[in-house]
Amino acid sequence: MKTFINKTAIIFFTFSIAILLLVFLIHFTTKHTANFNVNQNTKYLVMGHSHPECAFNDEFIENFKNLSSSGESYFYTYQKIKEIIPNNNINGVFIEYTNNQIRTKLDEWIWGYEKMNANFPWHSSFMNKDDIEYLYTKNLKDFPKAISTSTRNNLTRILSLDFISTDIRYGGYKKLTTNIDKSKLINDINNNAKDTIDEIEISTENLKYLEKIIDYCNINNVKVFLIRSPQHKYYKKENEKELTQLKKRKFANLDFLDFDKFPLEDNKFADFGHLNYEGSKKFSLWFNDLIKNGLLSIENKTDFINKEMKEIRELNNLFIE
Amino acid sequence: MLFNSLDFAIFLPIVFLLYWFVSNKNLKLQNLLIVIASYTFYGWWDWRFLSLIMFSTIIDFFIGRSLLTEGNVSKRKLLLWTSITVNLGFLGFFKYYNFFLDNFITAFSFLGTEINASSLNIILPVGISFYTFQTLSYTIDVYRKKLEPTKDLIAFSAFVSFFPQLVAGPIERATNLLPQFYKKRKFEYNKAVDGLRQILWGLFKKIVIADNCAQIANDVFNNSTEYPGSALVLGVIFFTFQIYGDFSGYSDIAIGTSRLFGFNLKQNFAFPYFSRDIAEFWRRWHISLSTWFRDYLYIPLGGSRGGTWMKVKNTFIIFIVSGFWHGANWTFIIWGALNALYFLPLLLLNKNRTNTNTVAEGKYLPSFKELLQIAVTFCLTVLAWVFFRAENVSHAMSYLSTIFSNSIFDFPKINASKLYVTQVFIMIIFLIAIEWNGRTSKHALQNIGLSWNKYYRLFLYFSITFFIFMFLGKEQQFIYFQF
Repeated sequence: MKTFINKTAIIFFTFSIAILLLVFLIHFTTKHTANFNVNQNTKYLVMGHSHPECAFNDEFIENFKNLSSSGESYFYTYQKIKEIIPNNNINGVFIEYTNNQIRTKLDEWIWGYEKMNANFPWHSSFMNKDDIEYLYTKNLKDFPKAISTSTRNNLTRILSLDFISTDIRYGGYKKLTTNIDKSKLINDINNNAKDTIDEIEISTENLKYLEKIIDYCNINNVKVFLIRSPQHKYYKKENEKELTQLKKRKFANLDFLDFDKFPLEDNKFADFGHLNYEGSKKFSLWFNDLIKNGLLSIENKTDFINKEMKEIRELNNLFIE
Repeated sequence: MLFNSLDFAIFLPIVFLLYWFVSNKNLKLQNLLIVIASYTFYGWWDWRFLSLIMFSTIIDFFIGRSLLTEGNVSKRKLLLWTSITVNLGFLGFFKYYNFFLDNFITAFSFLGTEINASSLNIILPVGISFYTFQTLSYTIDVYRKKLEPTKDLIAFSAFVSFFPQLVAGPIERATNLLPQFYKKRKFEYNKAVDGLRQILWGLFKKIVIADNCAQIANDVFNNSTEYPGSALVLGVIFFTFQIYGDFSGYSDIAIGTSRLFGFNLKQNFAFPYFSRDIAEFWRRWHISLSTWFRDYLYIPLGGSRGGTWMKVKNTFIIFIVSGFWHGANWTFIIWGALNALYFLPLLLLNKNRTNTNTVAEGKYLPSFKELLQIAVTFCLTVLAWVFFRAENVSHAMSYLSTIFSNSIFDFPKINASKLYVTQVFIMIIFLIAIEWNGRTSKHALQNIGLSWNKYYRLFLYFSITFFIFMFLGKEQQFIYFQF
C-alpha cells in the first residue's frame, strides 16, 4: 500500500512538473518565434470588437489595417497594441468606443470562459505578469483551461511552423453578406427592452484597459483616435448619455470620430450593429476619402465629419427624389 | 459530482485513504464508509433525490428478506411485482410521465377529442435508470432463487449506491457485486495500478475525445439546416466518437475506481467500433445493459427457442425497449428499431454468432475483408446515431435527407476552426491506435507497454496525461447521466 501511494505521488508530481516545464518551453518558443510585422505601408490600425471588424474594409483604405476581432474587449486590444506597436511603424490607432463597450457585460468578455478561452491563447506568451495575474484572480476556475488551450494551440503552431501572428485569425476585416432581417429587428427591439438596467451600468474593468491603451500609445508617440462605427438607427443606445459623459470626463483630450449616424440604407446592414459587405465598402471608400482630405490634421474633426455626412445624406435624398 | 471535476479529484483520495487506513479493520465500517461516500457523491448533485435511492434500497431489502421465508408461489409473485412496480413506477414517473401524457394528448386529438392536461416540470434524477435496473436484478434473482437474499442492510445499501457506478453504470448484477461486499477486501498492488491505468484512459476518452468531439457535433446538430450534407456527415462522425468516449470513458473510470477499492466490476465496452457485424457490436457495446435485457427480458419472453417469428418478435422487443430505456423520445425508439432491422438479416441467416472472437486476433492488422466488415458496421452505426442525437424525429429526418443530397459533395465547412478540427481528429487517430493495440484486453491500457522499458511506458502515460491537460475544456456532463 505504501509503495502504491509513494509511487503514485512521485509519478503525479513528476508529471506535473514535466507538464509545467513543457508549458513554459512552448510559451518561450512561441514568444521568440512570433512575427507581428504588418505590411510596411501600414500607418494606421483600427481595433475593437465586431463593429469595426465588419465596418472597416481595409482593401479600400490606404495604409490602413483592420485588426479588430469579434467579441474583443479592451483587455485583449491592449495586448495586441503591445505586440504590434513595437514591431511596426504605426502613426495612429483608431479604437472603437461605442455603447456596448462600456457595459458591465464586457467584464465577461475579459475573463468569462468563452472569451478568455478564445482570446487568451493568442496573447498568453506575450502578456506581462500583472495581466496574467489579473485574469487568474478574476476567474481562477477557468484559467487553467485557458492555459491548456493556449499550450495546445501554440504547440500546434510550432509543429506546423506557423509563426505569422497577424493573419486573419488574429484580427481583420470580416465580410458579411446577409441583409438586415426587419421582422427579427422589431422582435429584437422588444426583447432587448428587458436589458435596460444592465445597459447603463459601466464596466470600470474594461475601461481601465482603454486607459492603458491610451497611455501605452502616448509613451510610444502613437496617436489615438476613438471612433464609433456606423450603427443602425434601431441599435440600442440606452447608455448614450453615459457614453458621452464618460468621454468628456476621462478622454476629453482625445478625438472622437463618431460615424454612428453615417447614412446607410437598411440593406447595407447585416444586423443593427454590423455592416454587410456593401455597407462596409461604401463606408470604407468614404472614410478613405475623408483621410485623404485631411481629416486627421483638421482641428475640429467632429464638424468636418458631420459636414461630410450631411453631404452624403443630402445626396441620398436627392437620389431618392 | 463529475469524475472529470476538481471535486472528484479531491474526493477520491480522501475516501481512498479513509477506506484503507481508517476503516480497513472492520468490514461493516468499510461498507458504511462506502455508503456515506456514495450518498455524498450523489447528494453533491441533488441531495433531495437521495431519498429515492434510500427508498428503493429499503423496499428491495425487505422484499428480498420476505422472499426467503415466503413459500407460497402467488405471494412470492406478489412480492416480486411489488418491487417491480415500485422501481419501475419511480422510473416511469420521473422519466416517462410527460412522454406518455404528450402522446396521449396527441393521439386523442387525432381522434377529435381535445384533452386539457399540462405536462409537469419534472427533474430526472441522475442515474435512476441504472440503479433501478441494478436493484431489480437483485429482487428477480432472489425470486428465481439464484441468489441468497442478504441479511446485511449496509452491504445491500453499498451495493445499490456504490459510487463509482451509481450514476451511469456498469449495471452490476447482484450475483456479481453483492457478494464482494461480504468479504474483506485486500489491497492488491497490481490491481490498484491497473485501476489507475484504466482511470487514466477513461479520462482521456472523456476529456480529450468526448468533450472535444461534443463541441463540433453540437455545433453541427444545432445548426444542421445551415450546413451541407458533407458537414453533417462530419458532425455525426464526431458524435459517434463523442458518445463512445463519453460512455466508455465513464465505464473505464468507474471500473478503475472500483479496483482501487478492491472491487471487480464487469467490462462494459469491448472496443465496439472494431465489430465486424451488428450482432458483434451489440455484444461489445454497453454490455451490462444488453446482458440485463437478455437475461431479464429476452429469455423470459422465450428468447430464440421458438420459431423464426418468435425470434424476430423478441429481437424487436428487446431493441425497442432498450432504445426507450435511453430516453422518453421517439428518436430513441426508432434508434432501437433501426438496430433491430440491422440485426434481422443476421438473425434470419443464423449468422448472429459468426464473429465471437476478437478481430484480427494474433495479427497486427485486419484482413481486407475484416476491414470492409468493420467499415460497413461502423457506417450503419453512424447512421443510427443520427436518431440518437437528433432533437426529434423530424430533425433526424431532415438531417438524413441533407446527408443524402447533392450537398454531400460540397466542402464540409463548419464553424469550428480547421486547426481545432485537425487537433481533435489527431486525437481520434491516437484513440483508435491505442484501442486497436489493446483490443484483446479488458481495457486499452491494460497490457500495452508492459514488456517495454519502464521509461518508454512512463512516457506513454505521460503523453496521455499531457493530452488530457492540453484538451481541458469546460467540464461537460456525461451524456448517459440523463438516462
